[in-house]
Amino acid sequence: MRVERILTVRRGFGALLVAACCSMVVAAPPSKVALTNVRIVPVSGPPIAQGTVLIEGGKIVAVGEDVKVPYDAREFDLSGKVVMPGMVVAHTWRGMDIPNESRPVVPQLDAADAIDPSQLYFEECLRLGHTVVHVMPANNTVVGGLGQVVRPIGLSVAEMTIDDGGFMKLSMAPRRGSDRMLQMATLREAFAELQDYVARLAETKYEEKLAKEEREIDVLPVEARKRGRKELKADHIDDEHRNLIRLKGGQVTVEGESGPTLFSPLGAFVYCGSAMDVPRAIAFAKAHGFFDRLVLVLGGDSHKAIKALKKAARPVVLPENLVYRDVDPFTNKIEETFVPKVIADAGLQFALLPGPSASLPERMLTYQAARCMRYGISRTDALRAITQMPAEIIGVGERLGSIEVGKDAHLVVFSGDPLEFTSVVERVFIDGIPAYDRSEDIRLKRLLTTKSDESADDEQ
Amino acid sequence: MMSPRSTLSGNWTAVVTGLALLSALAPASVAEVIAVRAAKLLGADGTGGAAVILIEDGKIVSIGPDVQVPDGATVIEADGQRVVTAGLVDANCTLNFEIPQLAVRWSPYATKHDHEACEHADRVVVGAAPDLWRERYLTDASPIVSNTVRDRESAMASMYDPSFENGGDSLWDRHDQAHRHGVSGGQGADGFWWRLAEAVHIHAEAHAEGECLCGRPPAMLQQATARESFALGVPTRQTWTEHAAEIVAHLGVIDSLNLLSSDFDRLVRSGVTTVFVAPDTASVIGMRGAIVKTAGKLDQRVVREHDAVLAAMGGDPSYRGRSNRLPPFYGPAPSVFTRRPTTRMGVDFVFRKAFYDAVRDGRGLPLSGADVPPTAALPVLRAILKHEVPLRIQARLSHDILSALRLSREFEFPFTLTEATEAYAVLPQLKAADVPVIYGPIFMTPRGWRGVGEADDPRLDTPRRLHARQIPFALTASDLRDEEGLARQALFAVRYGLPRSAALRAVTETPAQMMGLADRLGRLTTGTDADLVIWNDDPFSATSRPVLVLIDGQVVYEG
Repeated sequence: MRVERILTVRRGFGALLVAACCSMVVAAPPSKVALTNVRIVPVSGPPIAQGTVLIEGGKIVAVGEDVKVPYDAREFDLSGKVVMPGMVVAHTWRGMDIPNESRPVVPQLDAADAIDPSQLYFEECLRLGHTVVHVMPANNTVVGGLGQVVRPIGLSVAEMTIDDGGFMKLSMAPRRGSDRMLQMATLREAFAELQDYVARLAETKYEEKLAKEEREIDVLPVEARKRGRKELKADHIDDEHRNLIRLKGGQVTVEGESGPTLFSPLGAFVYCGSAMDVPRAIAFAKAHGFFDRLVLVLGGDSHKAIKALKKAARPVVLPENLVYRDVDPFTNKIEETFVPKVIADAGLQFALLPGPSASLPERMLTYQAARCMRYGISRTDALRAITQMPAEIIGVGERLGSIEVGKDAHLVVFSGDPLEFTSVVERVFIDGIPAYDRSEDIRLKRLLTTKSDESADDEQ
Repeated sequence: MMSPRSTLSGNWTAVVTGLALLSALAPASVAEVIAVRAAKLLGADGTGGAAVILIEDGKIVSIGPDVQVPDGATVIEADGQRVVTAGLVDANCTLNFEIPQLAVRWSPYATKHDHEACEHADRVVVGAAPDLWRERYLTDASPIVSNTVRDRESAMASMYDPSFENGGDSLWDRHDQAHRHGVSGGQGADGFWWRLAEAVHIHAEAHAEGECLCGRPPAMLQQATARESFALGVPTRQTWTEHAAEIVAHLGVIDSLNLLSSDFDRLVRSGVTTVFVAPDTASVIGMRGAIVKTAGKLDQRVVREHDAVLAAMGGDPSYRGRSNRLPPFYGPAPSVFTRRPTTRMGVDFVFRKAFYDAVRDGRGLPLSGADVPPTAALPVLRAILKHEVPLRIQARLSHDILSALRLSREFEFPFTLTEATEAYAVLPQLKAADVPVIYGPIFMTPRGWRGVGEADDPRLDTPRRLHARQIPFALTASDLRDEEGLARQALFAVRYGLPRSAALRAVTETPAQMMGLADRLGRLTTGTDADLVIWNDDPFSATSRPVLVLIDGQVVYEG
């Protein structure tokens, strides 16, 4: 209604401002860019006190202390600054207009269709140095749809896309208005229906084959299905079932017999709303053949299932609230658990998420990492949990997540130590493109005092 | 993992000699000595260095690098990276939830209903657990429930709005979790979600009773939605006030303060050892705040029962007066509960008349008019005029700050400015008037954060500006706790240019001075209360947290 309209207007206006004022408009990357005299935190190895990162064609081509800067490179002298890899948001629904479709089982959906490049969220990502965002349907679902890995620059989804996401969203926690029994029943039904669908399709294809050869049907339906499975082609299968088949590994199975492999496999981000969901998520993934591509998205008190998590040894995405608060129902005393510590102690691969957008510094991944250090996680692990690990978890670890030769040039320049709260993001390079410059960030300037704010002439 | 404890244990090296053990058993005449050996003691004057602090009878008896630890003393080592500071002082803390009036109120706008709710609340045992009232109001389908529910109708709308930023979690999830774990409420954003979900819960009950707003004319709903979105777009700042009059300076929050509230546990965990419990700002001249310690022996907790009176300019009193017209009686239908000022002019008038009435009363002249303050409040107002009772004025917008300055000139009373969101725009005036400021909280997101949405144009570097102008200021976290607590306000100020020593001062020494307690609080020096915090690192870096808190020489938190 009225409030919504105001929001829309503001968002539209925001997009204009962004286009006009931040250097966010995508251009072809300058062929050569050199960041010189900068402290380099590559995450994949020890820091380099002062060195150069050379970028060519959007890729890092040289990192080190003694890198010769080509005469035709655009040079950024960053003395006293620190450069780290662009941070990776492993899981968010933000960037889409709506978090979830209202129907429970929608494997045919793709977040790419709902990403709005003009959202302020992406501008905020730039400001915070989050350069890779895995946009996914949210948790209020059963089978939610595919995610998309994007960078926060670009005027269309195609321009933003880093990788067509390789993950399907599933949720073990009940949808709104549902309960766990219904949730699981719906989930099982979706996969049972898949078997049914493939079997019927195989039977039809066998019948079609016979018809083409002008032969009569000669076997019982069960046998017809088995025979028909070899006739199945990728384009026979609709989007909905295709993605479920991909989730199961890409190979069709009819009446218990393996058919052709039609599609590339798909991983799963499975949301667990509480500890009780974790074993079921693991069991379900095993039963349907995606356990080795399983990522657990933890919510609520899921960390309490640490034994099951440890045994499964699958990567996890941590809840955005890192401190879990329990209130003892008898004594009313508050017990706090710092979730990443529990996960790190179990030796699991984990990704940190930025906190809620309305929170103060928690929405910065660097701050989330700093909090981990506060509770005894090593600096290296904390840094890895916002760069390398999430990049690996979402399947772009080969290209992103650290400063190494051959990787995409996603770089964030901080004014000082990235985990120190006084440090600010000064520049962001995405694929070699200078995507953000703090000195041109007008929306940030708005939050800092200017001369015109003051009624008096000058500061004393 | 981080539960407050009252004894030394765990990784803390407690060297308790046989003598100390004996002394513990011996009569109280043998006072226990505690020695804190600090590798790094951070003072607000910027000093840092090794020191030994000797504590006896809850006070610091000597402090310095060369102080000898006497035999038999209990030694607390703060070595390595650890840093020791004075306990933090929050000069404008908004406590939450354990106050019965507050507990039954969910909306700052439901004035009429709140009045009824307050009356009911009187019958709730002071300090009752939140569960108690929850059950009471869930099981008892009283008119209050239905009124509250009507008021909350649009909350439902916001909740089901898919674009509402709930992080993709269903609110039901959170609520379910809350219920499963017996969590009732919480602070800040957590508490907000919980309350919202709880409101829906109650709505469901009321719906079953046919007592909700569903199916009423859309115009009504729309009106409610606009207003409520304002309220719900923020972690609600709960309000609680006495609605008997606009001038309630004769009341004190101490009377409804539950010192056993778990809110205090959370303050302790944030490194806060003393708070000024701020009254609500829904009245023009509100109640008197109290200064209390956040933990310790119950009979030593209250530092000052009746401290400053908190008045408010602008939004809070006028907006709340305006929005008395709630469903189902929209429109200009004033009831006996309708409150007086509905504009800033009205607020100024009520404020001014109260003081003139106080003066007239003091001279034995009769009082007249509709806004005569309660008789009991008049002496307090006169005490303010005589500078015997401190006054605080909350003002957020620059012109409200200027109004406060104008009134202060008119009546010649000194005051302390609170919130002061737009102080950056009137720095010279503040400096000229020599007004101390309790600034904050600082928020990152600019729009619609606090109160009734009027504080929507802050600047992140205001503390730096205040410091540069040499205006004395304290920082406050108001209703924020734990990691979001006072230390982080300082952290934020530092990020935007305030020197570290000034930031430390703004959360320790300055607030103590403002409250006239500099001899007891805010500094680590001989004779002050032994309230100190041991941090695992530099207190204002993102990687640090309090690991040990002492209040009056007692370990009250160990994490």
